[in-house]
Amino acid sequence: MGAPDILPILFYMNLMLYFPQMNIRMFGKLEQDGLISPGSMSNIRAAADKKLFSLHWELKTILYLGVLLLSGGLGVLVYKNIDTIGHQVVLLAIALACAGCFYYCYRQKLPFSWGKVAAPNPFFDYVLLLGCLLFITFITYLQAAYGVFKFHYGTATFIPLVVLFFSAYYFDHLGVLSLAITNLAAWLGVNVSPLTFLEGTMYISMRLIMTGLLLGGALLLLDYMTHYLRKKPHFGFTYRNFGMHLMLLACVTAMFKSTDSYGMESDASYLIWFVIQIGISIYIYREALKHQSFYFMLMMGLYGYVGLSYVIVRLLLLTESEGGIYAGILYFIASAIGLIIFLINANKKIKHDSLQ
Amino acid sequence: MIAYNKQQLDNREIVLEAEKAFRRQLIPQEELDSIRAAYPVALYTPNMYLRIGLFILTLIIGIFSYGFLCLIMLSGASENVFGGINIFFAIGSFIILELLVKEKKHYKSGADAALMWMCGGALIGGVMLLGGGSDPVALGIFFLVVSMWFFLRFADQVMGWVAQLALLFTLVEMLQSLRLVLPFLIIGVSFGMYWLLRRLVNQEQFRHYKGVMKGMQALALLTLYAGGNYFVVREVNEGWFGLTALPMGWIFWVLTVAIPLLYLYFGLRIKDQILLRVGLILVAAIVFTVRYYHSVAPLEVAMTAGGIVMVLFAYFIIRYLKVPKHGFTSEEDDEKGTLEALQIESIVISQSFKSGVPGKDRFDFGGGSASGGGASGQY
Repeated sequence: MGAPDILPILFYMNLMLYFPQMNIRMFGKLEQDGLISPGSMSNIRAAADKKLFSLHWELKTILYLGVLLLSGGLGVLVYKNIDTIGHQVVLLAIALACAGCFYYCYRQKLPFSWGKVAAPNPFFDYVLLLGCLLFITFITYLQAAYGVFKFHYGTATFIPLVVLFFSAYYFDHLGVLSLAITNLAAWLGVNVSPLTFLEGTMYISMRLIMTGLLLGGALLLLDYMTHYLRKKPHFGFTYRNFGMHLMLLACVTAMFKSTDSYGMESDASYLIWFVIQIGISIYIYREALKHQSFYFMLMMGLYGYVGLSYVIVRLLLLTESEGGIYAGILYFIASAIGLIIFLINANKKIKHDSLQ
Repeated sequence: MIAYNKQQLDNREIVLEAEKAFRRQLIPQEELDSIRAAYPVALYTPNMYLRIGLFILTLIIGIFSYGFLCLIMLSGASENVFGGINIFFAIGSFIILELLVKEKKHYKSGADAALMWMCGGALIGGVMLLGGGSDPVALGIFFLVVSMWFFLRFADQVMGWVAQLALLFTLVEMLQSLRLVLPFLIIGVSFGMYWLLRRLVNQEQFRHYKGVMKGMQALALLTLYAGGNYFVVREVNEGWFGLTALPMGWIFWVLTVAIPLLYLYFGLRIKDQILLRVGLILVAAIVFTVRYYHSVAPLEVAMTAGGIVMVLFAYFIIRYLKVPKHGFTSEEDDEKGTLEALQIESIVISQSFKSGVPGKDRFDFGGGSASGGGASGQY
């Protein structure tokens, strides 16, 4: 459960965003200067007079935390009671709640379309999320307790996978789509959450790297197809995001892995990975420009920086001289300056209208 | 005092307000354009991602430059030499920071925050290496002066927070002997800070610190609570003074429960978003403090029950506010544009669920490791 780590950040960002009232006096001055019309001014006055205090974010956060706690709590509850009579009751409760969630979504949803479909009410997204999480718990539990899927352990993760992808498309939910992609990766044996990677709990084998690379490539292809076929094009960002991270991370990890053990100093396979990374980066760069997204530009730049630095350091190590250390330090200073210039220029290519 | 051109800051404020009005469809595009033309903004404030990038890269440049300096001076390695390098490095970063702000018009660009941190860090490190860090009170005052200066000159959020914490740290160090009064001292000083910040935030002459002061209000409210929280007081007493029994412990239990509820009450009463949000976060702190000493129910039962209560609570309030009542609404007012454009929700959810299989009964939120290496702390 990493969500609670993220929420304080969201809270804090939101705290900073908030400016309570419109500055009426300032707009009055703008009106005097003839910069805004009396009509607009009366609009602004009317908006300021209503002065409604929005509890939107607070309520959404409570709802979200509630869903997380509920699904997490039920998940643990069912495991703790696995040998007692009570577990069947819990299981039944989970099944009923899950069915209830999906039934609610089915009744409430707006007609399906391949474009973006808005949620019919504020609860819809959260109910669907809860339903999906409960469904995962249910299936996993069935497998653990009764071995329903016998030796086909993959099936136990494959069924939720299908349900998740179907729900994401049928009910149009980006969060469930992310969940589905994470599960797809888990099914293939890759744990894509950046948190696991940071915690260093991920065992990295060459097979894992290849899987990550292929899965990332498939996701980038899916992103391309969503736009090309115009099927839910707003899902593209999520596919692209996962795809980019997986592919670039696979390349960088493979490079670092080439010095994993002793006696591999002469292993030059990292150069091949670096070339692959350059190719992917060029694709990401073009996609970033196409979708006017600086986020991808930055990520591509940072991964590229790590990759390039690795290559340079490896090459400098070959010199085995003291001058190499000086050269290395100077390289880091110069290359960081270079990357800053690149990012600032790239940012100019992506138009931003507003100040924020 | 402030390093930026005040006219520019005012223009920026006007354009931001106009953009907000435009997003709320109160003014048409032409008027927004004419306002932008009449109040040009030359300040360089890139989007959030570029800010994070600039912050990281500036830190990298700084650290390697520092390493380079040290490497050159390696032959004469003594504490004094390294102290001197630190001071030199601090002066150097400060000059670059000033140039960036004056010439390149950087305003909360990420690079400025990185330089500020490096300058402050090197300065304090240098003073300590030169032998000035033995007295914690003096060190606290030095921290306070340095961060206050950065806060006043660059209106930086993190520096403002550091100044607040340094003030509290100095007071605690100075008055350690009065350990029973210490919690009330922290409460009193935090309340004083909050009150002062609330007064200053709407003053015309401090308008450029407005946003930052709001963030500081939130921290003042948090430290106020920490001063009276049973868990914090007891742990500090045990850790520092070796006291096992807390005299008049019930006072702290009352404070632990009452303060967040008071925040919520006043937050709703005077419609203050900061009070309300800090209050909500601290409700979680109540739950954790109580659970730490009195295990009412097993964790998973508590989670399930808590989850149900929260979902139902939010459900009924949203239903109740379907038509705005008492000046409250459950609709969002303006934050739409920014958060949605960044597609943050999608990233958050993917981070939130590691894998489908729930297993470990680990439950560690509240404290929150929200230390994310953000840019200048401004968004």
